[in-house]
Amino acid sequence: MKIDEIDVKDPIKGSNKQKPIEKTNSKTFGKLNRYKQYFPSLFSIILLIALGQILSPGFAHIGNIFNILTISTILAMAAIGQTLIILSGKEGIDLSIGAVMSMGALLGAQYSGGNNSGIFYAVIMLIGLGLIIGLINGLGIQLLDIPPLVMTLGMASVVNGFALAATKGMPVGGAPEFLIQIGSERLWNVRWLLIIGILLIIIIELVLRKTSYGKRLYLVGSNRNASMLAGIKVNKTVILTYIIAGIVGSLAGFILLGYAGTAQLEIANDYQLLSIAAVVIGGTALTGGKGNYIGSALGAVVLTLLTSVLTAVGMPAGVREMIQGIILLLIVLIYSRAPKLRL
Amino acid sequence: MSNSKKLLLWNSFPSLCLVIVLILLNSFFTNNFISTSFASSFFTSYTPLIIVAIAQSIVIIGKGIDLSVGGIISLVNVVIVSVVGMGFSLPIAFIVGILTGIIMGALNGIVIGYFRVTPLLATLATSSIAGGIALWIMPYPGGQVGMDYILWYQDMIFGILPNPIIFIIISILIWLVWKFTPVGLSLYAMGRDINKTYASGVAVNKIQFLTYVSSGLLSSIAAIALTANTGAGDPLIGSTYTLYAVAATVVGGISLYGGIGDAFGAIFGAIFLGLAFTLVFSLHFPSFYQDLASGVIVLLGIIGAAIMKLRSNKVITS
Repeated sequence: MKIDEIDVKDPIKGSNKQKPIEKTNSKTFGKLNRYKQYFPSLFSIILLIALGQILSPGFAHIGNIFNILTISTILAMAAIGQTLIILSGKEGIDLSIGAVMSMGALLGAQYSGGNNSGIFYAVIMLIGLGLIIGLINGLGIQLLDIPPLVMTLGMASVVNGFALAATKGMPVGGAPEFLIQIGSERLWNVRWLLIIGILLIIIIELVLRKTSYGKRLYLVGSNRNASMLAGIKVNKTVILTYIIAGIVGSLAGFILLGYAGTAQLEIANDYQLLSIAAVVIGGTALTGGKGNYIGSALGAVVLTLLTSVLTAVGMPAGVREMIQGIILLLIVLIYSRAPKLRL
Repeated sequence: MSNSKKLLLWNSFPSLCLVIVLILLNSFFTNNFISTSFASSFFTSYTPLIIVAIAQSIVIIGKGIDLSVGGIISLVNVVIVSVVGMGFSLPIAFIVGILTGIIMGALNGIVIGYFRVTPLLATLATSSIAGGIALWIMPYPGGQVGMDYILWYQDMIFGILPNPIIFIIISILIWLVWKFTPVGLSLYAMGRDINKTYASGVAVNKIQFLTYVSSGLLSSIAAIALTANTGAGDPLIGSTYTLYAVAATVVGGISLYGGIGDAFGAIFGAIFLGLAFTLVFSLHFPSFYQDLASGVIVLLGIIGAAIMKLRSNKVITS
């Protein structure tokens, strides 16, 4: 606080050019400011629960709320890769996450053959495929300077084609019992899937805050040139981010298989738009380098609640898609407008 | 500069070469490749792609991107079929369809040009809106446009030129209006540097608005052609066109960072993709490998264009 005061009073520095920095003397206000990023999500969550309760009584029942939290875990998993990639900056975005998740569900069903004993093999294969997809994405974006949007969009169609070719158009196998149990069995009344989701939030946040990779990611996202000059291997960091996104995406598809029970072609297409929307609601800047994963997870809860409310009211699929689009449009209108050209 | 050098430095030149290579390959593998019937079937299938590539290139030259073209095509297709289904005549259906496309384009233009939202997110959202409305109007594929229209679309002018070319000519005219008016100059300037263009007194938000409106208009023309090709309504029919349109512009030598390229390059890019798909088809892959093959071709096209661009950048800097 004292430094601020000196700055303001300094006759040279603090003259007409610098705005006097607002003093935040009260400690509570400073703390609140830190969590400001979560306010819109928390506010929307409360609003949506209330709206759901009004439109279909029983919506706000604690059991239903826990159900919705459990379902939102899958979207939150889809948002992991999206958050990391958007944090990496330079218009980073992953338009292949929906396709990768669909592939994870389809091939997970096929490789495991629907048996618990096949899970290990399926997970290894999915990690391998996710790694290859992420590696190709990362190499194309970093070494060939292809915009992430185009590279991942092209990759999405390859992955969709690959899933179709590998299953020959007829999904075989099914969800292994163990995966189904993750989505249904409970520990102290909380389903395992939700526990996994909470653990993932803790792990990802620790990775972002405490590991050298996380710190590098934020630096690379804020300023590529500066981090390169500081000796950070930018290419390595960004390519690693796309690899993580590929692996997490295909495993998220496998979890989705456990929740849905069966796999269909392009089962996870919805997650494409929703994962981006979740990250934007969570307050992560699309310019990169600013944001965190807790926000995205809260965004995932908001969007899952919204979908549940719309489903509870009985909206047809088309209207739901349209409303999701309108919501995303409103969010970006509020949060991510570029500064005015006129100075 | 000599004419041959000019040709070599032309942005659309690499894509023209690619088209020639594929024509040669196709002439080996595709039966009846050099015939009017092949030309007719090629243009009936790929006219929508060519038009939507022109739409995308206008937006991309202005340093934007339009991910909603696929959604708009689906929506316009469904709207046309529904309007015909209500008993109106075809021209009225087309007018309603074109208006729908223009309205969606205007929505993009307002959000991006006047509210300064990133094109990527704005058009992703409007794509979901357009696709959602299409799915709402027509949850399952169905309906039909008149047989007369379908037959006319497959017919040829004087037995030589396939009728779909009319749609392409209209779209090229729209591009030429851009190219040979001051607005086009502003478009290229805006793609290079939006701040400097603004400082030079160009109303950049108006130009941005117009690029998205043109994109919406051209997408609706593409949808009119596509409707003739399929003869029915399908709420998901446009979904692949977004990627193909972007890929065609990239292959066509248009820089995704704005300001460089020409819509004719995108036309060559679209023809390249069409010929590549034809080749895959003639090689008789099993049907479930065809999506993968098309996807790989598109991705290789994007990667190839990127490598060529890196090379030419090196040549310029060295």
